Amino acid sequence: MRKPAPLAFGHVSILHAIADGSRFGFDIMDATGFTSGTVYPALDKLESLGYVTSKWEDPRRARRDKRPPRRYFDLTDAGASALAAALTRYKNLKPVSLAAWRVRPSEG
Amino acid sequence: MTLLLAVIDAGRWLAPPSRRREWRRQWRADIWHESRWLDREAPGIGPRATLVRRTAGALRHAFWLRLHVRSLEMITHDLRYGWRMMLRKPGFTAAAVLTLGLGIGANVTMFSWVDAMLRRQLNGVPGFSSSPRLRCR
Repeated sequence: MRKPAPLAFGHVSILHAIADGSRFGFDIMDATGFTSGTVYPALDKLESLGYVTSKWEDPRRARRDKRPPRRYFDLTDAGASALAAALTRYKNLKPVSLAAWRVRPSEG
Repeated sequence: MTLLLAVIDAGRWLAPPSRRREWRRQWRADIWHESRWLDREAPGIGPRATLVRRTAGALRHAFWLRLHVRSLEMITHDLRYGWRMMLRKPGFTAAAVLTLGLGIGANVTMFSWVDAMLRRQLNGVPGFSSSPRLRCR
């Protein structure tokens, strides 16, 4: 079986946000700082890859609270493994000196 | 909030039919909850502007789905479109069918003739194998 390609940074951030407790689109946007036009397609993509699963809230419960039911996202086992592998990959990046460039404190 | 929900209702036609209902339901629910949360926790024009910007991203999401969702429905749409076009231009359809028919017929005839006249006649002739592949020893 072919090894899956490493995840892009955006996808890793979204998986990380979900693992950290963000469960729906707007919450994930707040956690990652990405726009909605990035987060929602990425969630669909991650779901099609099997890294994320989504579940609609029980409509009866939502109706009782007089609000529309939400779609909640959760990590799958494959998603957790992919996130762990990506975090290890980032952690293993060798530190480099940025002294030759002008790095503003907010960017550093 | 009503205006934003109206944007979602209007924008649902951008999403592919198989995902349209779910797309609309998800965005309406998320906007509704966010709007209520802003009313309670963060009143003011800034957070509202962010919500408007985020709602605009729904259209990008719908367009993304339109580009990436491949389903049986797209194949059936293509087939139905092709059938309609064929009925609309019968002259072109007849010419295409005739060309295909003649081309396929001529090829089948030619290869049948070659098969009958050349290959089968050589079966049993010393020096030629009877295998489907013609070989000379």
